[in-house]
Amino acid sequence: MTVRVSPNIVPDTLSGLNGLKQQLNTADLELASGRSINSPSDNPSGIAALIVNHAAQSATDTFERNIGNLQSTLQIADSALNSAVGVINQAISLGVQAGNSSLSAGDRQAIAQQLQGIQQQLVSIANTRSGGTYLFAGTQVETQPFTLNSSSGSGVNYNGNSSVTQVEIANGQSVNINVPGDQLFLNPAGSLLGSINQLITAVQTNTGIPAASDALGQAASEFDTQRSFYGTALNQLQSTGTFLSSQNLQLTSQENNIDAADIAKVTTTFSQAEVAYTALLEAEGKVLSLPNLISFLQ
Amino acid sequence: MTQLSQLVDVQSIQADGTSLTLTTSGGAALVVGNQSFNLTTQTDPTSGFQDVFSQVRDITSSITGGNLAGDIQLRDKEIPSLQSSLDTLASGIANSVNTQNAAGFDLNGHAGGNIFVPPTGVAGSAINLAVAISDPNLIAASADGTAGNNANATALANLQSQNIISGQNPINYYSGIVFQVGNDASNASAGLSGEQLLIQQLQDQQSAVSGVSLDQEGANLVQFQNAYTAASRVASIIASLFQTTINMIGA
Repeated sequence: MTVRVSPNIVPDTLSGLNGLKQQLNTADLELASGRSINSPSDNPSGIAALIVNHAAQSATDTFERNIGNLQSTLQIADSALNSAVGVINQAISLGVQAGNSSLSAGDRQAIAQQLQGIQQQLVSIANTRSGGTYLFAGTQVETQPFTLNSSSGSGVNYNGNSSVTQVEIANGQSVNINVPGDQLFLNPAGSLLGSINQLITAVQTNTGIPAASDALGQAASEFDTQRSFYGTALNQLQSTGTFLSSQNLQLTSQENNIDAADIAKVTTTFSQAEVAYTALLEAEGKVLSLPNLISFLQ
Repeated sequence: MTQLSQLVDVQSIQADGTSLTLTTSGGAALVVGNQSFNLTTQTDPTSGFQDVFSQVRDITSSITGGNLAGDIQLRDKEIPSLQSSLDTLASGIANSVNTQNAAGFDLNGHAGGNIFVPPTGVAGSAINLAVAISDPNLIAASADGTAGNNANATALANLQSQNIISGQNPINYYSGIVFQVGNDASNASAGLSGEQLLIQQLQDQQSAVSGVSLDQEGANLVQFQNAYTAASRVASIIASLFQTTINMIGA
């Protein structure tokens, strides 16, 4: 005896059509969005990896923005200190000139006045601001760090502090972003503002000018050592910036690996489902219109 | 009955040949003989949701199948569990950020206050999460009170990689929630297609037994028609035999 076959094929056909329609919809969505994950259920572990990936990307973006901001601030600081070098050299040659014993008292007075002008220029450089904050005030960035004070040994008062700010520029990598003003301009190993002030006094009183000039020279070389920090920091920012943008590229390609639609594959799936859908409809049309035994019993 | 069993789990008891008793599998009567009992709903005073009642009995938790059970499970188990995960995440973030902010000093030199409105408890944290301040100067970025210090801001930023939510960092915890939702949904649709196949096969089997095949009925028709014709031939032959015999006697 033969196995009896269900004479009603419509439910099977409908569920087949339904399945194919679903494949077509999924493929269509992937083609439209270019992404293989269009809802969490498409790939649960993929979506979890994507969230971690996006967090890492946004952290990298923030680090890159930080570096951009820091670079402009540090460049302002670096060029301000650079301009101080020319002024200092002028002071050194004035000191040498003042040591010449053939000068008149009036000449020395004129030199002392020029040196005072230089002192003021250096103080205004030391008070450089960027974005409303003082660059050489330690972390007291809202207080003007240097004010002239003729009764102080160095000719100035320092109102900042000796703290250094650290900024994270990559995961677990921090850089110092400032040298405190006292370390730059009032360093115990050679105080720039102090030695200028002493030179002014020496020229005014015509006593110990060569010694004061020597001290200024030593302070100038200490200042050069201190300000080289900014060049080094800028280099470090540059190289970390390069590292971060390559890391961002990697994260983007990782993201694509997780969820980019394989267009070739999706297109193939789409056309396969399309062919199957049409074929099923045609077959169904033929089967349904097949004659049965009754048709022949006339 | 087929329609009813799609809504709830139904058991049928044939009482005596003619009358039928329908109950839920928990035993709540739906139809007894010629009497029917409507299921009703009442608002639950604690949850605010509707509970299902049979007469005066709350049968919400004993409904185990059908659309109704699915909806109840979604409402009472799946969604609350996700809500509680989101609440844990929100209250963890709000509390840790507030604590860290309180450890520093704002731009006015004062000790940091709350950045988020402090959650009153874990439940409801996600929906009530709100920023408490509008002035960016109140973010306690400084660890020592000086305006240029950023150590506390760095500590705030680093909360993202610290295990502040049930022993996990916020990103991993959140991706865990999304994974859970995605996984549940994908399991459900895999289960659905499996069940659909099963239903289809059962329907095929049912149809194979009960369906009307025109071919088979046609063949039966021919067969019965032939049998009928054959039987009537036999009858007519017998009749003609009798006729012949009677004629012979008459002669």
